This record gives sequence, C-alpha cells and structure tokens, in this order.
Amino acid sequence: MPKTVLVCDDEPYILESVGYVVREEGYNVLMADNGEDALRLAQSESPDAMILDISMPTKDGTLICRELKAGPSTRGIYIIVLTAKGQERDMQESFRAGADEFITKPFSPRHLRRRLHELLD
Amino acid sequence: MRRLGITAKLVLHSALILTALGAAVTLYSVSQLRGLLYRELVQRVEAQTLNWIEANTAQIILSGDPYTLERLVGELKTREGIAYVILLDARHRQKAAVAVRPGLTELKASIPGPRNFMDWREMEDAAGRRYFELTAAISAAGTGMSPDLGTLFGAAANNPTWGELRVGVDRREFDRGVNALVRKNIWLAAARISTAIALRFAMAKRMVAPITLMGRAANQIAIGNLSERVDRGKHLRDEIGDLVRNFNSMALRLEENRDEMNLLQSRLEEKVLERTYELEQANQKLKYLDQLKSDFISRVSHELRTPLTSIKAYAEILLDSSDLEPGTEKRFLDIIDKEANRMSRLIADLLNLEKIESGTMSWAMTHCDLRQIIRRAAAVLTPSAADKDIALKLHIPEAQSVWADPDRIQEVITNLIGNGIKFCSHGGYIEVRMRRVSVSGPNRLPGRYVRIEVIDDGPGIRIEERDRVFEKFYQGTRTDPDGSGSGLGLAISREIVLHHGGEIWLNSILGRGSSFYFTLPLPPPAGALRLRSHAAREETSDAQNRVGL
Repeated sequence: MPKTVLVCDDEPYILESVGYVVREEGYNVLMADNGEDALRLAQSESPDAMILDISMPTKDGTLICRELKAGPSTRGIYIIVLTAKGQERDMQESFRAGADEFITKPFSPRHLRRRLHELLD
Repeated sequence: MRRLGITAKLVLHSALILTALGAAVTLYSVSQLRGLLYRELVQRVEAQTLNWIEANTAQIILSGDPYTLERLVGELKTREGIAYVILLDARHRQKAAVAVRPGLTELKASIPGPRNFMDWREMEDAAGRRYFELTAAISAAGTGMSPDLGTLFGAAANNPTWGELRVGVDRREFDRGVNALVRKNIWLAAARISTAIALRFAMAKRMVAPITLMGRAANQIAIGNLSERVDRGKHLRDEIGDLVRNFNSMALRLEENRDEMNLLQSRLEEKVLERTYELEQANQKLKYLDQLKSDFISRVSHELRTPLTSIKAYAEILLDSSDLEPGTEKRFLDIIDKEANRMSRLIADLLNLEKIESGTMSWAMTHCDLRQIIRRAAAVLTPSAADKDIALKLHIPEAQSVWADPDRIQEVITNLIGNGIKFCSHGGYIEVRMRRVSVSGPNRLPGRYVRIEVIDDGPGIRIEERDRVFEKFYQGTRTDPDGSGSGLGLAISREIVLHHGGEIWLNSILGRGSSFYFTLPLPPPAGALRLRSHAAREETSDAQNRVGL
C-alpha cells in the first residue's frame, strides 16, 4: 500500500508541480488549495507526510502545523513546510509551530524527491 | 541663653524708667511732706505754747506757788504732741517740770523753726530718745499785763522777763507720722508703677502681636506657603501697620512671581512635551515608513518568488523526465512561459508605480475622447471576456473630451474590466457606464467631473476590504483565480486617477457584484474662464512633461 502525501498550496501551478513530483515517485497524492481544506483532509485522511505552504487564504500554514501537532491522531504526520517566506524568523516560527522540515521556494523537485524517499521508504 | 522678647524688653525698660521716676517722685514728695509736717508741728506747738503763756503769765508771775505752777505746766503737757514741759525763772531755776526724762542734754543748739523769733533745740535723754525743744520767754511785757502790776510784784521791776518755758516734743512721734506718710507714699508709688507696667505690658503685647504673626507668616512663606497673610494690625496707622502692609504686599508679589514662574514652567513643560510628542510622532512615522519599506521588499520578493518557483520546478521536471507525454511537456512549457510573463509584468508594474510615486513618470497629457479610450480598452479585453462567456456592455451615449494621458486612463479601465473578467464566474456580466457629475466622489469636492463606472455581477468584496484592495499586493481572502495578477493593478490605477485630479472607489454587495468608480475633472464650460483654465492646464502639463522628460 503506497504512502499518502498531502500537498497544500494556493498557487495552482506550484500545487500542480509538487503534486506531479509526488505522484511520479509513486505515492498517493491529496491536494488542497486553501488552509481549511488542508486541515480537514489531514484530519480525515491521516496522510504520512504533508507539504505545506505558509501564506494561504482561510488558514495560515503555521496554524495548521500547530493544530495537527496538538491532535493525538495527527501528531505523527511529517510536515515539510514549503514557503516563499525564506527568512530566518519564518523558519524559526515554523519549527516552533511543530514543522519537521523547512524548504524555501524556489525549490528543487530533485531534492524533494530524495527527501520523500528517505522519509517514507 | 534665652533671648528676651520685645514685650519683655519694652516692659523691662518701662519698669526701670517708671521705678526710677517713681522713686525720685516719692523721695521728693516725702521730703516735701516731711518739711510740711515739721512746719505744721512747729507751728502747732508754738501756737499752743504761746496761747498757754498768754493765758497763764499773770498767774505764773503772781502766784509763784509751786503747786499752781505744776498744775499749769501739767495742763500744757496734756496738749497734743507735747512730751515734757519745764518752767524756769529768770535765774534759770527750775520752777516746775512735768514728764522730764533723766539725763536730758542738748544735742544741737539751734534748729531752724518756721518763725525766726522762736528758739528751737534738739535734745536727747539718757535713754537716747530725741526731742525738739522750744524755748519761749515768759515776760510781763508780752502778756498784756500792766507794767505797773509787774512793778507792783517787784519781781519784774528791773527785768521784764520773768523766766522761760521749755516745751519738748517727742521726735519719735513726729517720725512715726512721717514714716506712715512715707509708707503710704511708697505703696501708692508701687501701685502706680505696677499699674503702669501692666498697662505697658498689655500695650506692648498689642503692638508686638502683629510682629509675632508676621514672624509666623514669614516661616510659612519660607516653607512655600506664599498665600499666607497677616491680618492683625492691617489697619494700624503706625510703623507696625506700615510693616504689616509692606509685608503683605511683599508676600503678594512673591506669590504673583511664583505663580508667573509656575505658569512659565508649565508652559515650558508643555512645550517640551509637545516637542517630544512631535519627535515621537516623526520617529513613529519614520519607523512606520521603514516598516512599510521592508514589508514592501519582502512582499516583492515573495511575489517574484512565486512565478520563479513554478519556472524552476517545471524546468527541472522537464530536464529530469525523458519520457514525458507531448501534451504534458507542452503544458509545462506553457506554464513556464506564462510565469515568466507574469514576472516581467510584475517588474514593469513595480517600476511604473515607483515612477508615479516618486513623480518621475512622464505623463503625455492631451485633450482626448474618453469614449474612444473606453472602447479601445474593451476591444482588447473582449476575447478574454468571450472565453468565459461574459457579456461586456458599454453604455456611453456621446463623446467626452477630457484632459488626460490616454494610455494611462486606458490602463485604469483595462485594470477594472480585467479584474471583473477575472473574478466573474462563467457567463457573468460586466457593464461600463459614463456620466457627468458635480462632485468628485467620496470626498465630495464640488466641480464638474466625468464618472466612469465598471459594474460586474461577481462575488463582491467585503466592506472591510474596500479600501485595502487598492493597496499594493493586497490579496484579501480571495485567490487570484488564474494567478496572472501582479497585485499592483488597483494600486497603479489609484495613482493614475489621483494624478489626474479624480477619485477612485468601489461599492459592493457580497455575493451580488461590485461597482468600481473613478472620476476625472472636466474643464469649466464657458468662454473666458474655459480659455484661462485651459491655458493654465497646458502650462501645468508642459511643466510636468519637462520634468518627466
């Protein structure tokens, strides 16, 4: 049974590209283009990992991190923050909220593929 | 040592002076009284003695009987003040005596009496008692007795003087009276002096009271109680009254000075506070501007990163995948192309906005027809409206000449219609209207304006977002549906409209649609005014063109 990865981004092209990469590596892909959908999907589908943008409409990525890490059933989801907010304090804020990994945009699909395999296989 | 108070000093001085004066007066009056008493005594004794001699001479001379003489002398002794009586004959033989003390001797031969013709001596007996002694001659001549009768008795035939009478007056009696008088006088003097001192004390206290009060008031003033005044003695018409009045006016002036100083100080403090506040405000503003700038930079970098992320991601995917379907490959290349265009648009918009805001934009102001501008913008956007099956309608009844930069105004209209197309759902509706109005917009500046309205039946905009949508990069709660916007369109439109002297705003009902409005000022309608106004505008625009170039 392939592992499931939830991808959340409000930019459609970025969402599509990340989804494409994940699917190509043989994982199940769930996609959300706003924060509320992302949180709902994470809670109902219990994905193995999550690739999360920070600035999104309806719900901020940091808040999603915090809520997922606070829930007993969602605490185990590995959260990779993928954001254009690349400053030091953005990174620290994400880690404080419970993120497991931090990747800045523009990102390298090659690097993402490698990280997914290391984590999920 | 304790200082003496003014009251004590005044009273002490008065007491000294009064006592000295009283003593002098008493001494003087005592000596006067003494003389007076003495004189009275002398006169009384002399008168009694003379009376007695006159009454009894005949009998003395005629009788010579010792028993009779003793009786007569004893009778004289009973008179007031007389201590002893001695009767001597011409040959100084004692004929009779009464109450004579032993050892009576002469102390002083002669003491002055009030009458020169009578002889007074001072005597002392063996016990040390002192007496004044009057010696009076007894003669027939002085009695009114006929000389013949004297002759008759032979005794005084050759010598008219029969003998002499000595009458002693006890000096102690005299002294007692004098002493009593002196005592009475001293008591009187003491009473006078103490009454005077008591009065003096009361007066001094009355005089000193305002000074004491002034001392207290001065203390109060020293500790800062400048409203302290002295009430007592305010109406006194003397030096103390002057002092009190001067003191009070000094206190008043001090108080006024202090109030003035306080006022100046509080004004100064106010000024300092004001300046501090202004500085703080300026500092806050600078901080705010600085914050705005860094926000803007991080916004811009974020906005640039988004298309760059897509370009990078798809380029790498294309590079790494050798077996992509031709359709997918084409789609990814399209995305790369679109996102590259989006980046260049963003950069161009940023530069334009920067030019407008910094005043270095070159404006090609001219008389142009607004209807044509709107038509051109609509023509450009008609294909994309048609793609979403959106009905784009223009309601522009006539040509409208405006003084504007036609390309920039077209950009505003394109932005507004483009936003409508972007946010309207499939099969939506967009309408552009134009009408002349007499106020500028929400600021309600009166004048002649033309108002352009772009109305859509899209999702609408929340009330709280109506002003923020004109901010740079404001995204709000809605995502740009096709991701093509730079986030700067409305910000640029607002700058362009403001530059033309108009206003831009919007109305919206959530779920029903939005209406964007902007106004442009129109020249005044009539002859001379219009010409002048045009000339002025041309001048302005020339100047602006020169600056722009």
